[in-house]
Amino acid sequence: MRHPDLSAPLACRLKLCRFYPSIFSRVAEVSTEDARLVKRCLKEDPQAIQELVERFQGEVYGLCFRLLNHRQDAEDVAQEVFLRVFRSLRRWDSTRPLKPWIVGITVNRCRTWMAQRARRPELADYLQETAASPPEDDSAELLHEIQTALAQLRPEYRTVFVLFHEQGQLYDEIALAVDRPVGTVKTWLHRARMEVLEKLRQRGMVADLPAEPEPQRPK
Amino acid sequence: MNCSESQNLLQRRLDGEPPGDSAELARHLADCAECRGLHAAAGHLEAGLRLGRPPVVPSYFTEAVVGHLLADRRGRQRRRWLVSVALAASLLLAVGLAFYWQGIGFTTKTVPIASSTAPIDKKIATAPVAPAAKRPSFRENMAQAGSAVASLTRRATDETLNESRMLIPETLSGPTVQGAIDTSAQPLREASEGVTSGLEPVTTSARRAMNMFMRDIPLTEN
Repeated sequence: MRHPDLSAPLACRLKLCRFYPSIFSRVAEVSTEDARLVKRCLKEDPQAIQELVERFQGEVYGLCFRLLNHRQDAEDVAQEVFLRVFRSLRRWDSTRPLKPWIVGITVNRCRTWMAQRARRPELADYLQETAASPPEDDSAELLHEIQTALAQLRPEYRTVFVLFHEQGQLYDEIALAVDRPVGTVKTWLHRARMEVLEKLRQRGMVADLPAEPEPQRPK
Repeated sequence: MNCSESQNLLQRRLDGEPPGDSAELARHLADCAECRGLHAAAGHLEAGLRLGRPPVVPSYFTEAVVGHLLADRRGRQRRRWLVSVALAASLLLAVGLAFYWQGIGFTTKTVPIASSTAPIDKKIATAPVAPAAKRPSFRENMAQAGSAVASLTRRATDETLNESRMLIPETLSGPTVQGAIDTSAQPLREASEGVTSGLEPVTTSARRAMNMFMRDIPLTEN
């Protein structure tokens, strides 16, 4: 997969815009800021380390939480993700944005953890939503059903669904993170949506819209 | 509009794009219960996603992760330091052993050998030792050891030949038999000479070592 190369000539970069139009405009400013932060982290500046953790802990922990469906596992894996990030920081390509790189590490670690957990004879508890005040209507039930449907998806489908709908990442960013073409990401997301919609219908969460009355046929 | 187009519009709707031709879609949904159900479910999904909140990161998470990272880095630096020290110590040990080994192998002292007529007494053992003129090289020592081994093998070869002759009956012994024996022994003798020349330094060194050992044995007075 080709990635935006800031050091490439302008014509080449404009060509690359065609493949990554949505993120290229942000790459230049974001990568400079990321490179500065990474440089400070490599100098073992404790404040820089804390800043990097605080910047990305939401995405990392949130993704782990959704993929693993277990709070303690999510904490352990998220911590391990940051450990690997800092151990591999010297190998980060400063011409690429930092966030997809970290999300990619998160996805890989979660995948490994799920594979290891599948070999262990223990059940994973479904996560508890941490809403500040639980809603009084059917919203809680709807949320629970959506999360249940997500938990039954294939890991890659669940990953792209969470990255798009919960973390608001773009197709290009998701493609960089999961190291797949944009077309594959779109296919995975569309299939994930269809499966979730079908499960919501099967669970009776969706009332079909009434069809318009049929025109009366002449006798 | 068909079901495929309807589902494409559904995906674009969930992507956050504009709905497109809503009239055409409405006509299709009126006729297709399947697509109607999917679009209704999509509405509920959107509502649920709007209500949902991303998982809240525990308040202790940042501090725990930063502390773990700093501790890990300190541990790795300590391990790197230990490995470096171990490597340096191994290198020093290897160099030291090499010098020590060369030192004991090169030590030669030119000591006057006591003649057979002179009585062997303590005076010879305590005779002043002339300082070594020059340390022989590693190659010279190996040559001396080789000559020592060659002399030993030559002796063993000659004894073997003599015993072989004894096994041949006297009636058969004669110039032809003797010649045959000599002929068959020739390669063996040549091999012996080859080994002798190659290992001559070894044997010389072994001989010198024995002499030094004998001189160092404390003598008892009669």
